[in-house]
Amino acid sequence: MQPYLYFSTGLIAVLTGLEWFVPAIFRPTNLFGVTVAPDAARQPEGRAIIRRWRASIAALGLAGIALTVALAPLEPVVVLLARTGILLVVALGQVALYIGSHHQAQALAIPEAGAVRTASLAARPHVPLIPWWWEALPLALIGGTAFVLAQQYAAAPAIIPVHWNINNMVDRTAAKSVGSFFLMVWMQVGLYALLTFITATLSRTRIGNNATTGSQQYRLAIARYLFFVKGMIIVLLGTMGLVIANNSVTNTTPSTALFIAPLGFVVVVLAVGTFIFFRYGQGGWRVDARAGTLPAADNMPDSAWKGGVLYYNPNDPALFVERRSGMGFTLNFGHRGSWLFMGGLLVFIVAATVVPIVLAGR
Amino acid sequence: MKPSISIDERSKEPIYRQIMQGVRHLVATGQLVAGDELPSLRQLAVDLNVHLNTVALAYRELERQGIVRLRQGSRATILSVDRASLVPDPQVHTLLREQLERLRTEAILAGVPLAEVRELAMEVLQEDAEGG
Repeated sequence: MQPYLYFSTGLIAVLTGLEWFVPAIFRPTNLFGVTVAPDAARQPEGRAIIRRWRASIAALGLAGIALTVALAPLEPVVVLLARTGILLVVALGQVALYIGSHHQAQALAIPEAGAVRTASLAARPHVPLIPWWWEALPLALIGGTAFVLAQQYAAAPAIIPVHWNINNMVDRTAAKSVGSFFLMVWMQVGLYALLTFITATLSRTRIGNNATTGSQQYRLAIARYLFFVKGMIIVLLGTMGLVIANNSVTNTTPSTALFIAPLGFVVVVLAVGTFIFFRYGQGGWRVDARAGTLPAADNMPDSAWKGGVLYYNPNDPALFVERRSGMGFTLNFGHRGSWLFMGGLLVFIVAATVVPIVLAGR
Repeated sequence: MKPSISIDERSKEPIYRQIMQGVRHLVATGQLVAGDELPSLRQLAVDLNVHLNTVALAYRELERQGIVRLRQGSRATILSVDRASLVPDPQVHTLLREQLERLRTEAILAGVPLAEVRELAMEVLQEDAEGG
């Protein structure tokens, strides 16, 4: 079971590595969710907080990896439970360490930061971040996948394979139906809808104080990145769907290259995301810093950041806001829409998990 | 440079009035001119992190004072300032008085004779009368 061991330890190593770099991601005015002076992270107190964070994160990660390796010779069921438990402890431990660093950083907080807020009075144009006609490409790819699969539907056997294990053996089959045969198309449609919705919300997301060039450029870069991810997912799922269908019809085993493809996809998506991140910085702050227009605060009160992680501000009309605890965005849990969004996401996840199991129920 | 406004949550002045004062100042100083569009209610509310109704109230008051035009489905637009049709702000006297008192204090602390300040004020007001 070596591949699973590599997977578990690799996952802990990646999580640890990401968290190690987290302080480099923060805006200069944000240290673990606390609004500080722009040079606070370079001062002795700030550096000490970051040093303690990195040492704790590394210790937690190494302990997790060592325990995973030490437990490897046990019974497979015990190993599976232990690995899940270790991963959970590492993930929760990182959150706990972050909250600890947040409390330490409060010693450097600027009192009443965010009380004075500035906004541009220039009306932003209504043009969407992604031109509507760009959507023709992913939609055509979905349509193309569905079309080619439809050509093979009649020739496919009554029972089709739907899942392979890591040794390239079929471990789940399903009765042929529109649901099971076109499973990848349904996944394409679902993920297309989700990513298009997230992109649409970007124009209403608060990034920094929204008025700077950096925030505008970052918003556009993220919208294009999401479009790229959307295209990649559709191509990946489409390719998998077509290869699997072809193997069903010809009763052959898919090439192992097909299993490497998702890994390649993850690597490419992470690489492009990392590049964007270091080019722009969280919320595009690096662009503003280069131009000398970095705002002193992000127009959000520190008191609304619970533990520096969760944002709860019922007075804030923004549904999505820039995260202070890392890269990307988070929900304003004080906004009623956030619960609708979470509910919708839960329904989506449950549907995406349950539907394939039901379809493959043989 | 894009015109911008600031609000201060610690101020005793209500936020909707701070927004109004910001817009009025930009109009008075020519940074916003007739035909300029203001941000949508949502954009300004999100950017300033205030309730939508606060911005809506500020915009409605500015409309009542003849400074902006509001139309359903389109953005608030700055109107050409027709001084004759402007509705005076009921609090303007208090505000002007406060500002003048601040100015007087500044002048005294800076050692500028009040006669000189009076002359300067007359000069500035004269410029406005000549300009339009």
